[in-house]
Amino acid sequence: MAKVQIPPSEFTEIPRLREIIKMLPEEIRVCSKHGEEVDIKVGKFLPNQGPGVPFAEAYWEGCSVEAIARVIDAVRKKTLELIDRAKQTYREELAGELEPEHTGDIVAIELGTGGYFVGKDEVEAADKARAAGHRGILYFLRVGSPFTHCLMSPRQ
Amino acid sequence: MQIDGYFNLGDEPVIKLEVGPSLIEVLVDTGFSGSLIVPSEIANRLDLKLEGPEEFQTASGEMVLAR
Repeated sequence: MAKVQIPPSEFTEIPRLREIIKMLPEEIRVCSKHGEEVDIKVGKFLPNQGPGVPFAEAYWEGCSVEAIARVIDAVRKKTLELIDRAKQTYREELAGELEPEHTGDIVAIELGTGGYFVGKDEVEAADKARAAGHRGILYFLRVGSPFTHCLMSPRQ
Repeated sequence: MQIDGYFNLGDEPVIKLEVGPSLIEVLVDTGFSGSLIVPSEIANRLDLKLEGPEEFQTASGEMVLAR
């Protein structure tokens, strides 16, 4: 089996990646030649290490590097597609409902279901979504604004 | 409350902030509309959970998708 390592800096993304993988069509997830499914594996847990990276390693596993690359690319595209859909949901359905009463607040839209929750910030909106039993990836938008935050210092 | 800051080698205004067990250098952006952004390495160390992405607009008008 082929492996592609996931850097520790991206370990926080593994739950999101796994959720997106589940949404991909079988012909992308499963190699047509060998029948193996591309998946994310994690190494052994690191005991008593305190806060931090919970396992020794994480990696993509599949029958070939090409099959893994195909899934990684599909996950990236699917994520962008879901974000576009969330933005469309906002424009077509939620803007009229939430503006102007909630202008300036944050709306969290669950990417898989389109369910949404409003809060004064991301933490409050996410807490409401989790309290309502939504476990999926959230996309955050500021009501009445084309972007959620602005950064004014130059980025390097 | 007063926090003393300084300019780093890149001439950026920064402060030292204790985040979990680490003391990190944090850029002060007076035009930032959010609260605190930390690199994913630090988010990992703090066992923070990733809730989802959002978009930022930079000073040049560019839109950046933050994971």
